[in-house]
Amino acid sequence: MKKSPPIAPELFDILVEFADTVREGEADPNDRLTEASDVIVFCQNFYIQLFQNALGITITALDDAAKEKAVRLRRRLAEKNAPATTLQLITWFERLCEIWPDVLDEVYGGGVEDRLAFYGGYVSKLLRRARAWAAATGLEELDKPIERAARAVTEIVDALGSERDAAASRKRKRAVAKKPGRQRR
Amino acid sequence: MTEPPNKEELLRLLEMDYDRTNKFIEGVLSTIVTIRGWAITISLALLGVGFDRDLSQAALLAVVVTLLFAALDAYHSWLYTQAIDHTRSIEAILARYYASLVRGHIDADATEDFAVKLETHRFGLSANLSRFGWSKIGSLRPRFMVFLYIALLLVAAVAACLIQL
Repeated sequence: MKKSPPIAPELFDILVEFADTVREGEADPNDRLTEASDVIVFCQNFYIQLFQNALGITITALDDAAKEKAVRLRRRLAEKNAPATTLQLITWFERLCEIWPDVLDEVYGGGVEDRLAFYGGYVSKLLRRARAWAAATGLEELDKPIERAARAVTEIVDALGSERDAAASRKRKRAVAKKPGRQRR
Repeated sequence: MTEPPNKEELLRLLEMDYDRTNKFIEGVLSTIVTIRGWAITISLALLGVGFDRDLSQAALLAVVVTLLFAALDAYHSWLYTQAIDHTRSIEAILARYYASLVRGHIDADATEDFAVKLETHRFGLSANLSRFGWSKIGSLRPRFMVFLYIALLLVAAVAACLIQL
């Protein structure tokens, strides 16, 4: 009987389905992210499954205690010459713990640009690292689902970028409309 | 267990973080003292005017002014609370460094604990300041400031009633 992969391939469909709803106009990627947001649910479940099923530790939150647990694990694995792809996934989890309050807009400075950076920067890189890790550990069944998810995230980033550009264009037009007309000499 | 790479540089940055946070605390404390001074002065001045001119409105204005200063104080106390928590986390790392220097040669866990804490640290106060919310009132420090404003409000309310009589 074939052993199921440590990360369920269906998990990556969350991002694909979200991209579908964005394309159909039923969801706005610009919405403030909460614990119930699709991308957040994806990230949390990805790491829960990774740490529990592949690395043997339980992570239940994205806080300093969880980051500390991950740092201890990473250092232990580095001593044992674990593959770089595994270590890089753990450091990317540490990164998520650091930016978590920003992602959920709980610190001063959050906003649209941070959401764009999160999808385009963090999630995209997470998928790239996940793909590299899956290839290094021989989990071929994850390759296609991750690829589909990566394409979905690219679509979401494009949608966010378009919205931002449209908003900037509207702002410029309003500014030009408010300026008094120049007198012709 | 190995020491973190670039340990000396990390410690230098940690020291910088500590110094900057302490300067921030000094600034915030100075502002808080000023706010409380003004709250007491203006509130009592208004009560004085109220009693002198038999104006209960002055006492009611004292209630409003006290509430405004209380809100301002709460915000700054929130900043102070977060800054204090940040310095404490830095001191916790330095304490583990101290322990690793004292007993690291016989207790590898002491060195490992220090390395883990150092690598787990969230650098920078400003980047980690969370938004103020009224639900966080209970975690503000020092707590006695709540009693100060309750006292000022009670005094103003009682004064308003007395003047009205």
